[in-house]
Amino acid sequence: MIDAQFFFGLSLFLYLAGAVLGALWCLRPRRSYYVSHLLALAAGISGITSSVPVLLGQSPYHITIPWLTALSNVAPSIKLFENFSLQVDALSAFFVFVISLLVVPVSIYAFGYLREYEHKQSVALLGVLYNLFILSMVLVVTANNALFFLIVWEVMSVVSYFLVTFDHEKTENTQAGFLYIVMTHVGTAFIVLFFLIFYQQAGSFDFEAFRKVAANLPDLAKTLLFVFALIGFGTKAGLVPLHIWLPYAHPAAPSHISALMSGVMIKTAVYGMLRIFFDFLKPDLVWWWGLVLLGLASLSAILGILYAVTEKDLKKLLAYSSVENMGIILIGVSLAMIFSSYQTSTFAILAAVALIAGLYHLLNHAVFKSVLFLGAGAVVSQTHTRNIEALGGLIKKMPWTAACFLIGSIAISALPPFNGFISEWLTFQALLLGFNVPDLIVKIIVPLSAALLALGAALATACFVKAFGVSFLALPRSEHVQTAQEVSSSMKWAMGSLAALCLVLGILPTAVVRLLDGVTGALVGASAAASMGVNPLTLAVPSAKIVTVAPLGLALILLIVIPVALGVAYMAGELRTRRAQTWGCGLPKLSPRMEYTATGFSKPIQLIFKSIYQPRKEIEIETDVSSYVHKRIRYELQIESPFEKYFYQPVSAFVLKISAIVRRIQTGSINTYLAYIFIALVILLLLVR
Amino acid sequence: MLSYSLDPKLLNQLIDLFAAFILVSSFLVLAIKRLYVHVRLYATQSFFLALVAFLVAAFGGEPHIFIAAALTFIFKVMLIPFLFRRIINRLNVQQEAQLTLNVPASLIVAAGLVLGADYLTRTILETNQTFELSRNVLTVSLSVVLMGLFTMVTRKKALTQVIGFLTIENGLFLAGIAITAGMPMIVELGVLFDVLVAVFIMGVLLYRINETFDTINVEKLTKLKG
Amino acid sequence: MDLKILGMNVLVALSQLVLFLLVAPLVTGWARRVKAFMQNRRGPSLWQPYFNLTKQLRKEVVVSENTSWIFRFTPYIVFTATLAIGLLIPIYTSFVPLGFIGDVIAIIYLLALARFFMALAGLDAASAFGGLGSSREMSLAAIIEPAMILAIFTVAVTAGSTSLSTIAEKMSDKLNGWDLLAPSHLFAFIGLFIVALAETGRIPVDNPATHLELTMIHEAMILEYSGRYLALIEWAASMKLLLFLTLLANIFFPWGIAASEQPTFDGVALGLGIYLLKILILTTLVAFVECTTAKLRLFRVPDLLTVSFVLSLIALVLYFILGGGASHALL
Repeated sequence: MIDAQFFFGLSLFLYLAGAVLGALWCLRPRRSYYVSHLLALAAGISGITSSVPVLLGQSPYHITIPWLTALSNVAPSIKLFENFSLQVDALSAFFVFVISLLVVPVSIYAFGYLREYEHKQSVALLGVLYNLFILSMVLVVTANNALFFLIVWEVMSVVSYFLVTFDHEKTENTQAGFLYIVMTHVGTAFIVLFFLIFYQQAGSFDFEAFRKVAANLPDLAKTLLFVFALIGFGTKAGLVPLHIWLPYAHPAAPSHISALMSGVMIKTAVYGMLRIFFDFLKPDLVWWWGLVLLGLASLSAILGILYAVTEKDLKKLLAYSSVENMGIILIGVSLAMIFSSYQTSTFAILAAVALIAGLYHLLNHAVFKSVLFLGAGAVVSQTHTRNIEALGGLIKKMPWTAACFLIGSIAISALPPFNGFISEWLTFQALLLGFNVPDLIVKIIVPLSAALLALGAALATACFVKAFGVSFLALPRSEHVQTAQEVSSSMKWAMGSLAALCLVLGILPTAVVRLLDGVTGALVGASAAASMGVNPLTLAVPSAKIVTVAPLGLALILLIVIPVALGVAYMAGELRTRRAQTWGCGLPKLSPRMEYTATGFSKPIQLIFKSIYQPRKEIEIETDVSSYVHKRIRYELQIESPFEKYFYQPVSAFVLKISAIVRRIQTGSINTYLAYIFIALVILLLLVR
Repeated sequence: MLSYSLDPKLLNQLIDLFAAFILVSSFLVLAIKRLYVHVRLYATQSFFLALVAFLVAAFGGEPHIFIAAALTFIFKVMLIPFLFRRIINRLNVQQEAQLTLNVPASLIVAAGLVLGADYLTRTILETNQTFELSRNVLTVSLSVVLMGLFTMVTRKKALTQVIGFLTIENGLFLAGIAITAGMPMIVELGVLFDVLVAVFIMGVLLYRINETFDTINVEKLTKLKG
Repeated sequence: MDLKILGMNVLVALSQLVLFLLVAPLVTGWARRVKAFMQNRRGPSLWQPYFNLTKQLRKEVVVSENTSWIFRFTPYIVFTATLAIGLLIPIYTSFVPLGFIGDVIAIIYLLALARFFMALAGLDAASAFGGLGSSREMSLAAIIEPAMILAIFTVAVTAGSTSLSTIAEKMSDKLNGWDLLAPSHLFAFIGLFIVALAETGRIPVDNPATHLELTMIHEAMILEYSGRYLALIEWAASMKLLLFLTLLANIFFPWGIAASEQPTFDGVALGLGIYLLKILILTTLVAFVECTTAKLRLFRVPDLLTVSFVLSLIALVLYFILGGGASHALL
């Protein structure tokens, strides 16, 4: 009898085998790379097989790791190691599903992407880290013990740090890695504090014990738990103002790793929040917790995309847009928290709708952000630049990549009939349901949040028009583009399958909602699938008057109306089409220098939101004969993040100052250090006696 | 006595509507930069204020408010705007008002003020649910007062600041009508003349400022401290 | 019986499609006519937009050699997305046969789909004008959308749903009392009216009748188009204008709309007549605004849209402050 549990164990084993074999074959880097990615691919497929049954209603399963149990027998006095087990319930299964769903195409992509790194010595290492990275993520979302959770969380952070600094020849990458490791440890410190408070209350690190003690926690502990969880997981999620590492770290990693980092790694933070707020602390939820999170999430949604719009680095742009999308996901989650805090069955249904909106967007973002990162990777591998000002005209050289990137752009701009639309639609509906909440402040924050979401969505459209239009359309802007060719077929298929998934997830929403129903059932105690799926193709939201959307129908009527458009267009029959030059204002030939640049494209937005960007401009004009004849104009524009300026810089300055003081006792002489130890020993002896 | 009767629902609806217009004219002062338009907006706001007073007087059974309504109309809709136009013409000031905060930002702050005012009135009236009509109007009047203050804080032209001051007075007048169905006659008259005198004095001051600095930007006043 | 209802629904849907397609240029023509009248000009014939379209359809197409398939694909997407909206909104019956497919949010995003491709096509020809148009269009759209969502939310809260059929039906019920005078109703109307002017590129925001590079937005984007492509895009622009006028008419003044699932012939005829009258009046209003205001500088447009945004926000707040707050529950 082969069941889900077997496949789960198999996938863990395969990731581990991939890492081990990859390491063993490190002298044959190519073979090692292929083997480890092939095993990851198999593990991904097995992971999907293991998670779908649980999502469809099979009961949760436990897995204990034999050697850890053995360890606990060796040292029975250490209670900490008592219960290192894994549990796959609906929530865990959903995250395992999302991770595995991405691992499959990303591993396929990696085969073709190898060429980018072939000349490097450490290709084998990439495969090993890749497997370890995914394995640690899977363990994070299935760990059933706080200590074990912290260990794998740390493994995940460290492995991803190595991946960020994989191209360590570039100093910007090592700097990005440093910022990342610092920020992620600040986050981890808060998570540790969180679990310590819980341990103090429950007397055990076991998740089961946490659940039992949750209902009678003192108020102070509850508030502290909320704040620590928010900061700890908010750092990983890239929640504003803790997002500053994200736009540096994600672009630095190899592109298929960036896809996984943006696609799933930051979502483990959402997993953490869901596990804590809905599994452990559900009876303690207070409405203002959700409201605080809603405010921060809306802020992330808008600030993330504002910085993305002005970005010229293609991968950094995508990273900033991840901040926005995490905001959208957390809007859904925070609404669910607000609704759940009222603890009635009607509100439970609303909470289910809101949670489905958030989880749906999580799944969607994982898919379309991977397409975009993989597409960006394909572009970078051909042109060796991430600066979109140097790209252009790629649609003719890389038609397949362009088509996939276009679909990803449409999906992330939330345009029908692709998947981003349906989850943003659900988020808007969830916000509208927020008017049912009796607290006035919620009623006032909700429309503002909706307005910010709409602003974010519209800016996202502008952002991706820029990203796609400037890099793929019109004339090539530099010689980087001249040698570009379509990428290898494994990369094409990987991107193509993810792009197809964007469409499938977009037009079959009820199927997805059914998958999510188990998760919401377990977390908020209400099932919304029955009321949301009127029929297999129509998605409904239960409000006073039901409102529905049928994306497949939307796609179909677009298809039905196309003949009308064609009929209108060809009313007068087939006519001659002439090819001609674009009018170049009277100049003989249009040159790429006359095209609109990415900076120019986002300039109006930058001017409109001047007060947020606080741009620093420098214009230098060199004049020649008279002040009216300009020889050369140098224009420099720098956008400074207010958070870095007013929060992080003072903090780091403070730390440096403290370090300078501390440095005085650090003489560097061994004798002094020995003297310190000696003095400390004497004092201790005196104290202890 | 007046024996007209009006569907109370319609009366409320009308008063709410006019109160809403009063609110919007305060918003537009923040949104538009032309001084002439500010004066016209002030006149419009006062006109709706007079209308509210008239409605309360006619159908709320408080005939003495008729006088207040009429005085409001004469002074605030006709006389004060007329004086303002003269000042603007005589001083020949630049038309655009200068701001310390840009328009979208100040509008959003103003929206926040309205929300705050709403929250305040709700908590104030939570304990005292006797009056039906007044809560919305009270919210509006509080918002108008706050926005008038905000106008004075963020605008640089002395003239706009006077408008802000007058807006505050309008807000107070509205609150007076809404809550107590009119303050004692003598207080209202006093306030009205006060305002009129204030406008005259400010007019004189404006001439002085303009003569000294060639502008009515109050920024320049910082030079006076020596 | 079932067959009869089905037939009726198909008929209503088809008639909506045809009406939307054929009336749209007339609205543009009427707006131009009113403007000409107010400016003491004779003005072109009411049917001029139709003449233009047929002429353009018979002309050869010139396509820039720098463009890709996006450029040729875009007119069809723009036209299709806009026309498809005609199937989703209540026009003269409050019950829309295909209304279940998309609510008002879906409509906003269908418009965004059209705009997305239009902006890409603007960049595709590599000319500076196209890029300029795309950049401005996308920037303004970014601030139009929150104002629009907020206005829609106000209406949706009043009606308890974002489905347009429900909104039209609820609103026509509500308007029997004095609710038309409700400030929130009025403000939401003004908010959405400003949004409509901005979305359809009317005068305080954009000028549909100019090709001056300093001011144009929409026209700059489509500068490279000619022949049937241009015809499709201009037709779609007319339909977009009609769409917004229809939304305004049926959300804020839903008198006379045939309000049942099985409308009678008389009801439908009356609904159609009143609908056309309302569109006529609203078009006149738009033309009036166009004649009496000056075009704003590009960077003043955000000020106008913030007014719309704040009005909508106040409308929503007033809705809770004023009496309606008690009966707003969506559940």
